[in-house]
Amino acid sequence: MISPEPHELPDLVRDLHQRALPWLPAGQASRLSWGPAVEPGSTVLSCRRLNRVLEHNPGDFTITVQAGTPLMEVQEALNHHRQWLAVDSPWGRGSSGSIGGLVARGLAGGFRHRYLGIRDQLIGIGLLRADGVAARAGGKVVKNVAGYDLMRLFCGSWGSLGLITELTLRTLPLPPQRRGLWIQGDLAALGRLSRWLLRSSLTPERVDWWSGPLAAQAGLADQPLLLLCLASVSPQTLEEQIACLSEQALQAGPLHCQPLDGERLEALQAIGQGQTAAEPAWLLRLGVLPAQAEQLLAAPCLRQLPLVLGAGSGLGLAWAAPDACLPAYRVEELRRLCKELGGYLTVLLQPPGAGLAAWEDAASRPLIEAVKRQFDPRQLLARGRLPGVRPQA
Amino acid sequence: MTIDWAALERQCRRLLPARAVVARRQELLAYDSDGLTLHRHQPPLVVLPETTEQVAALLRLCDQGQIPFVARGSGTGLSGGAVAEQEALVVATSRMRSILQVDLDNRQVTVQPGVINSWVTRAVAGDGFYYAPDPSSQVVCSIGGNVAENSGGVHCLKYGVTSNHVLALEVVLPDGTITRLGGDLAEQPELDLRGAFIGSEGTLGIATAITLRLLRAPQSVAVLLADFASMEAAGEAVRLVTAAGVLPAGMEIMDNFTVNAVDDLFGRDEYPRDAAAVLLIELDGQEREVSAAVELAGALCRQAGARTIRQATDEADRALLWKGRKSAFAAVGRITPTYYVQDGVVPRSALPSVLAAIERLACQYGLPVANVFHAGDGNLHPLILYRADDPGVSDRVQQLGADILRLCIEAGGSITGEHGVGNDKRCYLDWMFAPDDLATMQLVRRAFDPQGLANPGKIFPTPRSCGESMRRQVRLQQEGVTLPVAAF
Repeated sequence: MISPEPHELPDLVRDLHQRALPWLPAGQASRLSWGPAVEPGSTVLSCRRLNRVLEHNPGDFTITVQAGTPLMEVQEALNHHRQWLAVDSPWGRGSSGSIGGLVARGLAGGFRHRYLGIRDQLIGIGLLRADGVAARAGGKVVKNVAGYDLMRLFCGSWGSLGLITELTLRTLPLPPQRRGLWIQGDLAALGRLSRWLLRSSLTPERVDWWSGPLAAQAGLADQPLLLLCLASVSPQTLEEQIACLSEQALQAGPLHCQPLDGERLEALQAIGQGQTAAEPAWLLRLGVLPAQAEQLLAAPCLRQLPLVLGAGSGLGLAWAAPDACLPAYRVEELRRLCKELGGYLTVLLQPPGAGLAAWEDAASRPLIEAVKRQFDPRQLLARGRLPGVRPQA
Repeated sequence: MTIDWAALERQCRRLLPARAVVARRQELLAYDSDGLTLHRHQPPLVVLPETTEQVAALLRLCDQGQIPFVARGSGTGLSGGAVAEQEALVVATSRMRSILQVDLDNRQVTVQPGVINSWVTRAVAGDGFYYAPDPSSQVVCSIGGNVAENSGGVHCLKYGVTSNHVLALEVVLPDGTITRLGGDLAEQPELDLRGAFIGSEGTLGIATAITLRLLRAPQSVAVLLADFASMEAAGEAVRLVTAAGVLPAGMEIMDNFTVNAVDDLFGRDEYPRDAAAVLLIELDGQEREVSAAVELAGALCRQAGARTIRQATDEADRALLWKGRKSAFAAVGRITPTYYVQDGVVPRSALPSVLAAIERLACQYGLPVANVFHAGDGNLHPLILYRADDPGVSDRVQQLGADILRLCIEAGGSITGEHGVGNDKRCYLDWMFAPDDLATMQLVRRAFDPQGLANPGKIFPTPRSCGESMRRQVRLQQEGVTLPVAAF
């Protein structure tokens, strides 16, 4: 892995291009093992030295940062102005990784419920193409439709189209009040409550399904639960919402509710984000139609796995520790189930030799490949990591 | 290449019902411009397909004959994007008006592109849902057009623009292939070509089915109307409200010119005629939350110097406060028969200085400019008023428009926030982007549309249409700068 100084980057990329050497764009390289395997012989080009906050305009609620800046540093810089980037840290303990890495993977967490994904916060991008040419798209204002939207094209592209060097994002005021609530018990009753909640006018920041094993890891009963994070300008509103939810939970069936203060809520969110988990053998990105979440949670193949899934989005993560001895065929079974439930499964981490494709072919595969050929005609970048094209075994 | 339009018409008639092919001169007049009437070009042939398969068959014909085509929704766009400047087949989606699927359990709806924006909300309002993006033209503009332009509206400050609300697209590519971009879930393990397609102004293909995300209607909505003795004070109110952590659903400002035009239209003094600026703030959420936010926003408006504040919570009263804003373009249109609306964006903090500079420019050009804008996100809509029969006025109007956009860019903003570049602003795109940026965007175009048949000449500066850009290119070339590949 090489971590060049910012001014060295364009020459270095041009050189790789001219010599037809395969390379992989990376941020802090904290989650390089996620997704399809890195092709042996590829140079990993980390932009960890591109780590400056370039411009924060608190009055305009925008921030421009170099792509290798750690996400935590961006959040800290914003926090001084009572602002934040409304995204979850990526799953896992230790480093939160870089903001560029977060964008390149394009995976949002539970905050998507209220704030949408990282793709929706992006307003400008600077990048280095495979041939070393620097380009930009978007800008620094929150509303802008001038030119093609390369921000979204690069978000979730896993480094397959170029190296992200700079990002401009919209920020939000930190909510003045935050409270939490977990509701645990019978799955069918939780399903009724979740359906009611999604049709109600309540606007929680997150509504996450947790599987029983995850609840057990947090010291709670081994039963599924719903974890809610509520935010408002008014503390009374939060009290009212918690009371209303508790009452609905009573009506939905035999459920136990526990309001949470800010600190306890954060501790539980950290568990949901894998900040206390050991390095797992498997890490799986799951998606199902939101209305099918209950069916997914009831699946026998998930009963042993910690799982967190957005109730509104149907998107989440499941993982298995090495000692769980989860066989690959079980994961394939889970992939089939997710597809039956209108979604998909992406393998972020798997044991050596498990041999599962990280993702499968998308309906638009020919077009995805056409875009790739335009951006990287020599096919040097992030080989085998083109989202929407099933990696070769 | 010369196109045999009579032969193409015959081929189209074999594919489509008779009423779906428009070739008579007087009928084609209806398609000679979009909402921006400054640019008019009558197309040689218009087709009105009703199904995805018909669109695909038409685009295959275009592909085989290398015939350019222009997609058109309701024709309400404001950047000349749906105008066939060079001879091209116009594919109007206005007969593709079915709501294909409503899935409230998963909070989504799938529609054909000709479905009118407000119909989506109407279809689901009974169940307490709505579709958030709401351009001013929402009762006539189509979802297909909204996707092409990545349209916004007055509520996008809090809820985002079209791109934030589209889950999946069925698209007919320029070679007639039908494909699907995105999926039923907000994130898919595939390149986000849906994101690249939205806002591509018809240059990458035609969306034939669109899956939209629905939102639950808020429990409570309130509108505040505050008037100010200066535009700076109104701008300060906007700054104070957002800095306090309140995120309104919308914040709109009208200037004195617009206020008087609206009062004239209504025939009564709905807004104070001597106000330099009127600010509308819409707040939504849980009832108690909204009342707390109203109290706070009201206090901050007073702190910024608001003279009077009106407040409305029930639907009829809210509609009354909004009515003036929604009628602003029509009201201004009564003063002169024609206006040219711009769509520049500036960082919110630059609003007061840019507005003052626009006023100076208006005096300099001797053309009245009314300002109505989305203050929360810095999206300006200066309306330049003119009489089309004044000799030489069209050039002056366009020059003033260009000067305003230059101001926006100098302030760190953009030439368009929600109307798109179209043919109207393509010669200014290279004020914002370097040749390499534009060349990189063209890579997307080449992947989707290698022959360059979809809405040719739009968005990107072309040698034929942009003399100034060309002169600049020549200069840059002489200076040894790498230039983008020739725009299609």
